[in-house]
Amino acid sequence: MPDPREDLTTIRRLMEESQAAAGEDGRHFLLWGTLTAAGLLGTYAAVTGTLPLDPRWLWGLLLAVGWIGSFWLGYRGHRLARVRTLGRRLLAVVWIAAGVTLSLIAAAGLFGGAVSPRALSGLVSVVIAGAFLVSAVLTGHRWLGGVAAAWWLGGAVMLFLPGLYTLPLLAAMTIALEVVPGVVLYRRSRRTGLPQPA
Amino acid sequence: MSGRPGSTAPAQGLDELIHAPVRLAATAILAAVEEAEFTYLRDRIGATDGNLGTHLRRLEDAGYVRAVKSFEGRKPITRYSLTRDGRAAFRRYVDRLETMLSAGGDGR
Repeated sequence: MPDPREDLTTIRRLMEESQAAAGEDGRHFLLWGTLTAAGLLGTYAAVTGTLPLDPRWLWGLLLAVGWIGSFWLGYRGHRLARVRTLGRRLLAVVWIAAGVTLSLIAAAGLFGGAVSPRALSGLVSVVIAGAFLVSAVLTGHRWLGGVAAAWWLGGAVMLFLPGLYTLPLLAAMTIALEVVPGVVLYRRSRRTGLPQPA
Repeated sequence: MSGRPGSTAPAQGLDELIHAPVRLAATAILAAVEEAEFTYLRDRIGATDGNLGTHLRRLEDAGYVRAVKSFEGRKPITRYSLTRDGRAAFRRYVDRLETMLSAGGDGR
């Protein structure tokens, strides 16, 4: 005789494990977190006169590397994925949307557009916060919701109290709230073997 | 593993095509994803290649599952997904289990 309780438990477990199998594996966080932190520290060094470089060239180079790297990781991940889910696709779309938005905001701020350079760090922070919150829901990693809250908190501080200090602060936040979560997710994916090489 | 010993699945109103353990596991996994590779299903279910292949073929013949074959370099890859009929059948199967559970405990 069938045991409905046992069957339903098995069904739910298999479905949850399979959805988790296509979760975020942290590689994009590592890539963009590292590039952004480098860009922010480079910009701070340029603005303070420590390094003789033009931040616009620096960001142009870093954004190009970031997008090329992202497309390569995305293409490779999709091709090699043993399992594909709608959640994974939505996650990619959310971060692509956030990336395009951030690139436009950064370009407008750096090239004298409608965005004040003083507002850049705060705006970048709150956009990233939104993307992390959606990621928390889509991946089931509730702790990413805490990461999102920290991004919003930092963004609020930088929007209300703008200044040069926001460059190293945002760099530190990028390392703590993007690179570190990226490392955690990557190590978890390597350990469980569940998420895909994306 | 083509069925369960003493199974009364049809009498219980359960779809016999889905009810077999390997097919139930494969259907549950495919219901949660858009598509999955044969090797992924095999590893998650713990079945042999031959056993899983036989069960998936039954689901495919019934129109519940769609298989797409391709090559990754020289390596052949088969990806499976549930068809619309397969999703509907799985939904009915789960609904029936839930009805049985709420009506009469564990159904034993």
